[in-house]
Amino acid sequence: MAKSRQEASDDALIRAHLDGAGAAFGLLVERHAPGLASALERRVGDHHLALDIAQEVFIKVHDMLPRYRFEGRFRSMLYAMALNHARDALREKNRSRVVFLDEPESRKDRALAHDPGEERDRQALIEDALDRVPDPFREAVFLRDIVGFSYEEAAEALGCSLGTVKSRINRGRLAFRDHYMHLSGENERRPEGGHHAS
Amino acid sequence: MSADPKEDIMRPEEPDLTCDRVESWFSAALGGDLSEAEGATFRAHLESCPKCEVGFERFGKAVEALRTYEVRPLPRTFFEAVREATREEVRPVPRKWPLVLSWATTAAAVVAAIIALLTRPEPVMIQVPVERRVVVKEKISVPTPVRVPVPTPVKVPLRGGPLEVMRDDTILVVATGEILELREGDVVRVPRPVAPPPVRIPVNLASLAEALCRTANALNRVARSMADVAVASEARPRPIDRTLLKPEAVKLVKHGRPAREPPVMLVQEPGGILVLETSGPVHEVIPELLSLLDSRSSLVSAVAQGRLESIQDRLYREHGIADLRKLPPAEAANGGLKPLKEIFGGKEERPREERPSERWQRWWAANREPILCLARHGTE
Repeated sequence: MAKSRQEASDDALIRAHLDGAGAAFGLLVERHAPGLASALERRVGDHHLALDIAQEVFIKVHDMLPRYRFEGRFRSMLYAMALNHARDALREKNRSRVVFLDEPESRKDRALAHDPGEERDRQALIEDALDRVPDPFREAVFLRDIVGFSYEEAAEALGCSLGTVKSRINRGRLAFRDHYMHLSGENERRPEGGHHAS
Repeated sequence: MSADPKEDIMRPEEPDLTCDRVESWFSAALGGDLSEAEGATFRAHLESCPKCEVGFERFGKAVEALRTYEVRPLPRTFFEAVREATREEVRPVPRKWPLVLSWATTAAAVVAAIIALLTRPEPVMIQVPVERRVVVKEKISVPTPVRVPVPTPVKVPLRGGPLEVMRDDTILVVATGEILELREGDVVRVPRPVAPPPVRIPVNLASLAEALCRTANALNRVARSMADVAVASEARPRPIDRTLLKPEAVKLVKHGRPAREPPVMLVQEPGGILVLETSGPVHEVIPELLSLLDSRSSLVSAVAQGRLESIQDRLYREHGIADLRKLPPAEAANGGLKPLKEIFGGKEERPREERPSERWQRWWAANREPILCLARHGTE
């Protein structure tokens, strides 16, 4: 039973939750929270703030579930809402901005000063490279390649057209490639600025 | 490369491809989304351009690396916090009522019974105005009675709720106004109320906000609750605006929940005082209140008019914390959720004097069963 619940679609879990199955919403949270929190962390650059936003979003989603339309779009709706929250949170954060002398510039410097020949943790390398991809492209790449969104889902979550999202994903991947190759030492030359967002 | 991403949507029909244009096709080529003609053009360009060939190869490797990335697992506290905040049902709480009023009246009745017992030869009769019958309610096993010292006799009117008298293995339920012959060895007990009346708590905005602050993890839920309370507590008397409540809440208020009464009701008193009417302890009611209220529209105006102090202001004033999310790293462990609780919890733990009603409750919990064993002078 538990296994079938784990494999149930989002809509089925929501239906079960609305029918009174206590654990169904918890399964939804466990399914989506890690990816969502990671996407938010990439967006806001703060682990704790990302967790706060993710929690608020899940609570809000929980309250909205009785009005949910069962069209199989829960995941994109969830991410769209979360990214909007993240934008608001960033705006709020920037209003009372605190400049940390150690962040984020020195992080870049540390990574640039890093010896390419040294063996690095692969996950950290990907994170570093991904963090250097400019904002709208990074989100698109994250949703497509890490969360596993279709182009349509990514377009819905990001609130843009299908063509725009395809373009963003391509640009984001190009930028990621350059940074990744540079940081991993596979690319001798510095990443070219031509692929970055203006 | 053009500045506007929309201009980069693929145009495969172009005869002479630039390297930039070919790069814009990389994702489509990797995903196999190019048509046959487009694929041929693309491959032809790669064969003639080593830079693009190497670039495409690295592009594939980078995307492959991206797809191996595993997001970090979240701390259990995150899921626990979400579960707690989205818990719909408040567990029914065993009702422990202070019973101060009923105890006082019943104690008065018992004192009267003792006076009668000690001043008259047996059998003792308690004379009360209206005659009622004595009902044998149920058979129980009588525990060892607790002997309570008889206080100085005081004449008091016999009023209040029913008494229970344990005699042998039987409980006699004696209603007000009954005539009952008490015998030596009878144990008089104050019965627990079957259905206590709801407690009505006048809502003080400041204390409610503080309570909400303590109990709720999610600040936005606190905020919108405060907003609604602010709206509902405006000076001019008016009915609760049910549009501020979620549809489920309206349903709850109107019809109650299946199998049990709604644990909390909002009642607008004359004069605009908002009253929380509840049959549960306050700390259990707060989450229920949070789930009932759903509006944040008026919070800003309420704060602006000085009717409410925002949570952030309160935090800054009382704890010097400008932003919850900027807690020191040590306190921000576990997702930053626990520290808030600890901060308020720590303040709450200050030792304070026990109130008389609390002393009563404690005593009642410890001596709930028989409170008095009737005994004649000279006997134990």
